[in-house]
Amino acid sequence: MLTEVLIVGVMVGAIYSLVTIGYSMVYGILKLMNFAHGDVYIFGTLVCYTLLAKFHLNPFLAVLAAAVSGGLLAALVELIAYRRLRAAQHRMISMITALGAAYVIQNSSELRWGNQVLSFPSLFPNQSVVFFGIQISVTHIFTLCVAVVVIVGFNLFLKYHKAGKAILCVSEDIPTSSLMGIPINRTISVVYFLGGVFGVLGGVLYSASYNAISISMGFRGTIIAFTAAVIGGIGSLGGALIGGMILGLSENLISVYVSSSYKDPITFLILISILLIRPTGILGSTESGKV
Amino acid sequence: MLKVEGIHTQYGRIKVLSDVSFEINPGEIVALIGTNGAGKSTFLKTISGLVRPTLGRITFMDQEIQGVAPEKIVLAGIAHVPEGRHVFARQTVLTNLQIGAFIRKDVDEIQKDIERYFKIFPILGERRNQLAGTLSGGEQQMLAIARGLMARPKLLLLDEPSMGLAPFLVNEIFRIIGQLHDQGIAIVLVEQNVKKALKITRRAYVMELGKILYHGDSKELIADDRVRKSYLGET
Repeated sequence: MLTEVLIVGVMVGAIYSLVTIGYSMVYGILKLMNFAHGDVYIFGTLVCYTLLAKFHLNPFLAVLAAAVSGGLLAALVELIAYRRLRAAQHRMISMITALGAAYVIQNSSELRWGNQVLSFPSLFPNQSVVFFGIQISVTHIFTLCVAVVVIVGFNLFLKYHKAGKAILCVSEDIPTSSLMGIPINRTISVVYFLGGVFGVLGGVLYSASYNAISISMGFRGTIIAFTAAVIGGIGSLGGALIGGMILGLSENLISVYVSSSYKDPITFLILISILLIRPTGILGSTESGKV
Repeated sequence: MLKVEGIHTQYGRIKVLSDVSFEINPGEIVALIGTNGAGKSTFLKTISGLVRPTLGRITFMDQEIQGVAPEKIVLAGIAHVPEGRHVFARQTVLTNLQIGAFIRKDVDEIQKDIERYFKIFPILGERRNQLAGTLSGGEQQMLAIARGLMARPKLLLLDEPSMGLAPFLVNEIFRIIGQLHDQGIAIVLVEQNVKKALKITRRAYVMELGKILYHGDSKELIADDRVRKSYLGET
């Protein structure tokens, strides 16, 4: 029993990590709470739903198209709602436009898809395999694999690719990055695009493993991404991973061993306790190293 | 090579530069001196595009560059080593240098340049895989200069390269600036160490309250009473 709960927890944690990476990266670059993050990924997941359930597209192509649509929407939100406000005196101003963007996306999606829970088709064969006497569903294995491949791949991209290094430099110091010749606006668009893509991938994997999707999951997604990012240390990629895992595991353990209605209170209790001990999150850096 | 004609720059309503004109020829090294808050850093930022002038014209190699984005100005051949070094603290020394060459595509030549700067600055070579934030102030300054040079600029803007460094490091930095000048790179040197700055250059500008007070031969400025009183602390 415990092993199975742990396996599901790790899978959900991997999905949460995917959703959190985009959110945390955007914060790392612009220090902006992107309230539209969850709604962007629900939009993309709903696009995937339509492509699969209505047009019976090949699952791989459907997920790809949905991820790109989410990425483009995220980049569009940055272009319309945040870019002109980047130089604004107060960060509160772009937080308000972020909330506005969230409502626009949420309500437009609701016009198209309604607010009921839709049944999301499975992406992987509905079977399970037995490993060392433990039964694991194929969906869980695939979900975990996809999440791990994307996260590891993205990490390698940041570390070794020129454009990835440029993203890290921009998140550290925008003016100095521009002096190096890094195109700032384009880099920020790419970060938003990737954030949207990873969010949609997370959303699709989540909906496919629970066979359900609804608009209301968007706001919850934003909250999860925020909580996981803050627990792990906002702006840090490793932090997003750890935060997502802690949330995924704790939610599942609490739902099974305590009660699912205690899921959120205990999750936030964890958030508060971690912040009391380490206000910058587990991997969060204090602004040291600056001379 | 670079010609600045009557630029005005302001932050919001605060006027920082008014009617500043400046000129530097290919391969020349020119000092810009003045007290804190005179507008020297803002002047460099206006050239490199970090700040837009409200009025005036900046021409670099027959190209008008006022108000152009910084990433395009690097492409034109101007590298700005900002005040306070601003190395990418969470990246390694090597990555900092590679990012300095962001606009270049000649991978082999980039690698050669990196090795070259590791010879000029041996301490950077020893610490190539260390995070830049763990370097000492002097090492960070060397890294910032080397990173600026990685773009292979025709004009280098150096903002207070000796600030906060121990005396022997100050000498080292000035020795390297001399070397760069010998290699034919044009350099605008903003310095608080006025004596050294006037000794290494042949021409200098003196800026006060956002205006160029006077400019001329560095040797004459060293002998000038006003300069001796205000900047060299002599009476």
